[in-house]
Amino acid sequence: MKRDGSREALSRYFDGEATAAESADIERLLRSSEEARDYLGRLGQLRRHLRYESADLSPDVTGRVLATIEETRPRRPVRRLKVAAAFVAGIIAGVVFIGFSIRQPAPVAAAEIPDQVLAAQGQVTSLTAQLHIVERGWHPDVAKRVFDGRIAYRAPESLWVEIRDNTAYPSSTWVPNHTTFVVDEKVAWSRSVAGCPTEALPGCTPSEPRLRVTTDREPFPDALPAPLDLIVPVASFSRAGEPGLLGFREMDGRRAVGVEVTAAQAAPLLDGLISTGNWREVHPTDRVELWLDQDVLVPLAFSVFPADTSDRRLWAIRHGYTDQPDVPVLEVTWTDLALGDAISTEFPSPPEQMQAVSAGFRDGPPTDLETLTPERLPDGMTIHRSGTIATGSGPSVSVASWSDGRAWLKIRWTSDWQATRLFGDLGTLVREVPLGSGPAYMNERGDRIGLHGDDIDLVLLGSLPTRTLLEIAGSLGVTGRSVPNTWAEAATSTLNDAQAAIAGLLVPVELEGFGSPAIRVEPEIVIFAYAGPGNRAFLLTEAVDEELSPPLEANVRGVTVRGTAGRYSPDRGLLEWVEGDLVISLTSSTMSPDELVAIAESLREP
Amino acid sequence: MYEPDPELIRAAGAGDTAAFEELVRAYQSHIWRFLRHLLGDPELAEDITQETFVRVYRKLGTFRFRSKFSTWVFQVARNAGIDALRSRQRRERLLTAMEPRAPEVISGGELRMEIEAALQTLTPKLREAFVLIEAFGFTYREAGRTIGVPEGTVKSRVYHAREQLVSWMSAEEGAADEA
Repeated sequence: MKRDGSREALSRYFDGEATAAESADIERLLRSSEEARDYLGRLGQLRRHLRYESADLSPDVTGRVLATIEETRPRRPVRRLKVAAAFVAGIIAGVVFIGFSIRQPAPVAAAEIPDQVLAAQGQVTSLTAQLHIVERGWHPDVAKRVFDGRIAYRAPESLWVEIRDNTAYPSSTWVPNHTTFVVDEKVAWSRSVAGCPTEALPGCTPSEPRLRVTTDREPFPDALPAPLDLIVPVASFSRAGEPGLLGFREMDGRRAVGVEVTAAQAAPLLDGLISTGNWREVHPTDRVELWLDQDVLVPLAFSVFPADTSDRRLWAIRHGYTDQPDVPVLEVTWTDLALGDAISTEFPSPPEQMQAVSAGFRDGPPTDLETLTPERLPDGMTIHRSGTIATGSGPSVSVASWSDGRAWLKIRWTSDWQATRLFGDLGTLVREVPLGSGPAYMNERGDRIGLHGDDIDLVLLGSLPTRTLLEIAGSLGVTGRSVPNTWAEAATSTLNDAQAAIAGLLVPVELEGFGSPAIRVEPEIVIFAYAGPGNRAFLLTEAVDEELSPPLEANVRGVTVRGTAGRYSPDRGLLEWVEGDLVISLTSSTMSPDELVAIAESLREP
Repeated sequence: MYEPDPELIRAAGAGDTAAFEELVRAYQSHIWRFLRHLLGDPELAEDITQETFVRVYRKLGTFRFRSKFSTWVFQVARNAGIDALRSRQRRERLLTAMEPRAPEVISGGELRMEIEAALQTLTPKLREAFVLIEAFGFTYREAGRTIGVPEGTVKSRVYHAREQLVSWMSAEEGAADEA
């Protein structure tokens, strides 16, 4: 009996899935072949042991399930705006309950963690902790580096991180990676070692540290922001689906919950530590085991493990890294964590020899602030800093900000916007959202809302959930107008527009961990932009065409997508294939090809 | 497999605790068995069974009656089980739990335990397809919907699972004969 042919047919026959003709063939085989009969007998033996067993063995979980959903009922997402305090209280109560037992409601915590993180940010007003860092694979001659440091935070946007390099280097030629960075509201400064390519180390590192200082920062700026995800990783969990649960443990006397995310998702947290100074890189698909304090969702530890994929290995070779799949390339631990205690020492001022660059912000309430104050703000939010920015070439911009602990909200507005795109750096792909009597525009990440009104252009942004930002924007009393046809955002479309533009359009279904897409329709092309937590994002492009254009890279490889031959270009993170009359592509610099293929497989007509 | 009245599902989705309790009681035994086979750990299976029904409760509003309710519940259980497996695999990576174990001598009464152990030597992908077909009598189509793969993939996975298990049984018997 042929193992691959007859046995597979016997397997189907045994399951009642063979056709009538196949069944007739198999029954003939069974009459003539003892081996076939023996094989079928073994299949029956397996089935008997698996299918027929005592139902008494199974536990009754009904009571626990009902108790758990009863506990979690108050913690379900709340739609009203002025509920933050009650919401947080409910969550904290739930988390405490979870902390008593792993076996009871623990898995619920994983599902709720993104909401918990968003809600907990208002609770953290100050923090101090010691940092311990182990980095592996930075250079072949320095297999492991060790660091100690300190972090201090004062809400809402003041942060001081001091890192000392304790590595035993092979010689004094190597420059220790001591790092200081300080953000104290209007002033930000850093002292660090300049980055260097692995192959040029150690000679290329200047012995003198690089000094940078910026004064007159506006609140919560896009440039040189305080890495607030080091305090509560809000950006890493906004729009996040349910993270993989690692479990629960005690860490430094605190109850911790562990979750697994990718380095792309945790990028705002990782970058907060390793974007200043001379550190190794991590790959966006690397696996991050992140442990958070159960009560306030402050990070307590994380480890970054290399993804075990061919693309990741190629990337490591190009960077000169010799990473092992099960060995973390970066481990960071917070200890001696103190929350809510007054920080005894003042944050250090920049050294006098540092030449400052002014960011142009001037304190003082803008003259028209009162007219733009939102009627609806989450409970606990109070005015933080406000003022104006005037630069030689740009428009005069007014700024107001509000905060509650680490949570923040900012509005920037101007009355002399001359450009032919939306004010507020929303990006090229936006979503039009109805807001009161007029439209607003939202970036694909859902954390920035733009309004083009009569004689005013404004952007509202912050660390709050999208629905809260929309409610606040709707309470500003500004009626939005559609952007002029000559503006870049005029091609912003809805799904209905996209369907009308291209027959047989496909969209992902049951896509967890991403917000609604921004959609752009061009002649015979539709582009969807999806944003997830952290840096996770992808573009879906569908164009009327019959064949793929020639590949641009030498390392393009064939991939089976939706039952057809497609190709994947690692350098561009581009998966593409032809389906019907469409050339379809998925592009992401932060997601693995397997993830893109999975999204491709989920595409359906809307 | 029992299929509940749609009104019962709607009532549970609307917050009727008694209706939801009826659903839990109807499916918990099946789900626990599935997860026990998938995870190879009765206690963990119990925890994940509980997690499954909490997830079911939270997602009931999204059930659109496009598939059998039983298939949908198994999908939720499967996803919860895979999450648990990943979590456990991380902890036990060094134990290489997924590698085939050395054959051990069978003594009659231990056969069920031995089959359970052999089942755990399969990869999770093979194991979940095999268990749905063998332990619950799912069709290839139903199993495919539950684990999110085409019917052909289910057919192939079930076949390969059987090949490995039959080979294992033969090796066991050979070892027993030598002993």
